[in-house]
Order: sequence, then structure tokens, then C-alpha cells
Amino acid sequence: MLNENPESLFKSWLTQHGAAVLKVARAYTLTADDCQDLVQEILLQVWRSLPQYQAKASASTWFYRVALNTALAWHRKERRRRVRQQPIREVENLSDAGHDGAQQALEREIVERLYAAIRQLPKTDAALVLLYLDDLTYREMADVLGISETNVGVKLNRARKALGELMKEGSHDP
Amino acid sequence: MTPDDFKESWQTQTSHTRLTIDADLLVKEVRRNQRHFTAMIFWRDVREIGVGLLMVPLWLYLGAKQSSPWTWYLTIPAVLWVAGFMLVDRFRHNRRRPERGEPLRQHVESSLSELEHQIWLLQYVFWWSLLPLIVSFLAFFAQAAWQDRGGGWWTALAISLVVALGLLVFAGIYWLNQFAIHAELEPRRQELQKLLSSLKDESPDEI
Repeated sequence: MLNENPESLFKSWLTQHGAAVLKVARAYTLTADDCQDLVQEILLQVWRSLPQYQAKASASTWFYRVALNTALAWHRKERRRRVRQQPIREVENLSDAGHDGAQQALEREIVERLYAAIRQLPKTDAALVLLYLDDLTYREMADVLGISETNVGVKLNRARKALGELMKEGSHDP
Repeated sequence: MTPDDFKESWQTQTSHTRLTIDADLLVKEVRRNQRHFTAMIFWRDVREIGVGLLMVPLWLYLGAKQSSPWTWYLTIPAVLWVAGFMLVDRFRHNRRRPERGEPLRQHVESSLSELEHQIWLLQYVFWWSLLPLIVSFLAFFAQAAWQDRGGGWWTALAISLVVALGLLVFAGIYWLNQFAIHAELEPRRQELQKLLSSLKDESPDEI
């Protein structure tokens, strides 16, 4: 249980882990509308599950758990919680002196292709790849998925191969 | 490019992005959704259990007003049994509801167990819900038919039609429950089983 005010904790976690929620939502949906719906559904579940958080897992691991559990249970027909205004509005590109425009465009394109490839993977593999790309350790991945670290290694190895194949195919598309 | 190169691009690109979050609006919306959800659960319980319980005084009143035979009152224990069964089931079921903060595998296992329980409830809806109501319904009309046995063929026909209509309604309810299993719950069960099997332990040789 938490001693902190749930509302302020929710806001502070949102700032820290909101990006992870968006990535999960993008990986499991095809359209921007569905993505926005899923983000809201995940955040609703975060809010609802907050009283059960017991600090056994780190906040980041817990956020990924809620996000993935919700995304895997989410169905397009459940679009019932759409709000009129969008609380999470945009993902903005920040200028970076170290990167030129062409390099950024290339990276953006790679990330778009990665999302497209992740959507084609089986759901569990997609989850593993997302965690891998976000640089979680095997221990953290195992905590999120509830499987052993050895199992994470085996499955991730296969998922990475599948991702590589899909990215290769994607690069041949016109 | 290797997966590690993709990882680098992913991290570089995502570090260039940030979310614009209106936290106050979000909290407001989340609270509104929570209220909506709580209200939905409350009205579902009222509909499913409260209506059954409200039928008891109504049934007593109608029975007394029309001087109905004792079999009329058999519906009361039948309705109380069904409402009680649902209440107990809901109470037991709520205690082991899957939590979103669980690890994925554990969450899938508890979701699957919850879903299998729902399927069980609908599969056996005849035994715990429809049968007690059908028995009380048939007992009342059997007694009515016996009391009106001198009424001739037209009375017998009228009672038979009412009984047939009632049984048709019960059959419809049963069919709707079975349809829900096949159309919604069974596909979801298969999906969860597939997900669970994809999380089972694998040896490197299985790749």
C-alpha cells in the first residue's frame, strides 16, 4: 500500500513512465484512434490498480505489467472510454544538436518499421521485444512477464531473430 | 542491421520525443471513467440480484390478492436460491479477481481461471438457475390444470399453450447463454490458452 497521495503519485509516475505506456499502446494497435483509446484504458487500469501497488516490484516494472496486461486483454470493440479531449496530446520531436535532420528522419523511419514488425510478432514475443528495445535487463523482463530469466533468454533470442527477419523483409518493400 | 542496431535507433529516437500530458485533465477523465465503471457494476448487480429479490414481495402480494394455490409460492424459494447463488458466487469470485499489476503469466493464469468460471456458470445455467424456476413454474400449472380438470378441452389447451410459451422462454434464455459461450467466451479462452502456452518454459533446443 502507498502512503503518498494517489493523485500526486499518479501524476509523477505518468511523467516518468507515460512514454512506456504510449509505446506499448502503439505496438498493440493499428490506428491512432485505437492507440489513444488503449493509452486511456491503460492509464485507467493504472489508476485503479494503484492502491494494490506494494513496492515489491519497481514502479517501472509495475507500469509495464499493467500496460502489457491491459494491452493483451484489450479488444477494439471495447472502445467505450474515449474522452472528448485528449489528455495525452502529442509526441514532440526535440531538437538535438548531435543529430542532423537526415539522421533523425532515418531513425524515425526505422522506429516506424520496428513498430510495424512488432505488430506482426506473436503477442508474447512483441512484449519481449518492446522490453528489450527499452533496455530492460533479463531480471526486469522476467519480473514483468512472470517467467524465469533463462526462459526470457530463450524466447528473446527467438523473438530477436523473428524481428530481424521482419525488418529485412520490410526493407525490401518499396 | 542487427537487433542491437535497431535498439540503438529506438532509444535515440525515443529519447528525442516527449509526451505532452495534461495531467489534471487526465486525472479528471480517469476519475470520471472510474465512477462510470463503479456505477455500471452497481446497476448490473441491481439488475441481476436486486430484481430477483424485489420479485419476492411482489409474488407474495399477487399470490394473496388472487388467492393462489400453494404451488404459486414455490417461485419464491426458487428466486431466492438463484439470487443467493449469484451473490455467493460473486462474493467468492471478487476475492480472486486478476490484478493488472501482476506479472503477465500470473495475470493470464488468473484471467483464464476467471473466464473458465464464467463459462462453467453459463454451461450449467440450466441446473443452478433455470431448473428451479422451471420446476416451480410447472408445479403451479400442473396444479392449476388439476383443479380445472373439469374445464374441458379449451381449458386444457389454454394451459398447455401458456406452459409451452413459458418453456420456450426458458429455452431461449438457455440458448442465449450457450451462444455467449461459443461466440465470446470460447474464443477468448483459446486466445488466453495460446498466450499462456507461449509463456511456458522452453529449452534452447526448442527454438
